[in-house]
Amino acid sequence: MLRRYGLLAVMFVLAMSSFAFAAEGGSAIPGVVPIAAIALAGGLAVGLAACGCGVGMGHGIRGACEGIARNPELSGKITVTMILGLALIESLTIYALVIALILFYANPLPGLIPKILSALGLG
Amino acid sequence: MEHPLLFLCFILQKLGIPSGFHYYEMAQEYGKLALIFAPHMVHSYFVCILLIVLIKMGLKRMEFVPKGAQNFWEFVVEATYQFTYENVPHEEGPGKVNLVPLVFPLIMFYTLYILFCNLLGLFPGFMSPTANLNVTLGLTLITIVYYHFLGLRFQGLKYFKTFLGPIPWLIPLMLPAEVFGHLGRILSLSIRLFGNLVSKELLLGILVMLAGPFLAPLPVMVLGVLVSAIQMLIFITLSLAYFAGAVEEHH
Repeated sequence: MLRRYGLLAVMFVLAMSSFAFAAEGGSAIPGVVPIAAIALAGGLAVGLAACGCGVGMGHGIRGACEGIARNPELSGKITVTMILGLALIESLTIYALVIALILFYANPLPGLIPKILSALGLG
Repeated sequence: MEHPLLFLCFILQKLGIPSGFHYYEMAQEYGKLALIFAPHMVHSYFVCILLIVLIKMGLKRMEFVPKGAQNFWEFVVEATYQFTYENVPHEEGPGKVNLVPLVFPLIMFYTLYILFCNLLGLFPGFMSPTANLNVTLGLTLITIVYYHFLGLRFQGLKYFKTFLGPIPWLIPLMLPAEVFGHLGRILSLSIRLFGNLVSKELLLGILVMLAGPFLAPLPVMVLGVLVSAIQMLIFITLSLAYFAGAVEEHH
């Protein structure tokens, strides 16, 4: 199991170290948001959410196409159901977009991450 | 990002009322009028007045065989009635509930209000009131309070037993899951509508900044019309599903 997940675990630990770099920029002036970390977080949030959303919608549309191929006279109802399902799946990506917008424009955390890290003794 | 220019707020400013984003953000100095005539509130009043005027004009002379505007409004009412009838328990009888007369006026209001609010944002110089989280949260809270009220009315105090799950010793697992699920409904219903409309406006703004104002935003505006109608459908479908789920017998 270490062979399969070892590389992933090492990458995860290395990614966590970016918090330390962000804290150096933020703890110098209290009240300033760490812009680099926020930009990375916003981009990753919407990107990863769109990955999952795309896979889910692909499955949904496949089911709808197969249903219409088998039974063309029900195509109206199947299309309406498909659109309903797609909008519900899309809303999950929209939640990620809202989190990214909150991070960019209404950030509640200026100085909070450095404060937590200095309380832990890392900043 | 910068604030858009809004015609209605501009007209009200010329009449002396402090209405606009600048006044809304510094509302402590300008008093209650800045909050009553905030940009999203002004556009919400505009949608309500527009709906009342359009419907009154269309129904001026009612004829048995409808044509013109009366035909259109009868189609809208009939389609919404069919939709509610199919998605909500509607049997009559001693042990059965008929939710349609309790729920249909609210769903009719949601349809017209949300559709007109979403489409208003596509006109240059106007904004969608539903692109503001306050408006969508208000609509969501109406649905949430009402479906709990319907559950209590039709099932009495046994309504709280439906949160506990089927087997007694699973309660510490089921109760937090159900409570968080119901709390999540508030967030999801409001943020879905808000996020779709804000993302449409953001996308249009960025596209205009990158590719010029006249021809580039048109495909995104077609997508915007589609998204507006679909999000209205999603809101009323989910509201009907919550109403039906609160009233059904616990299995």
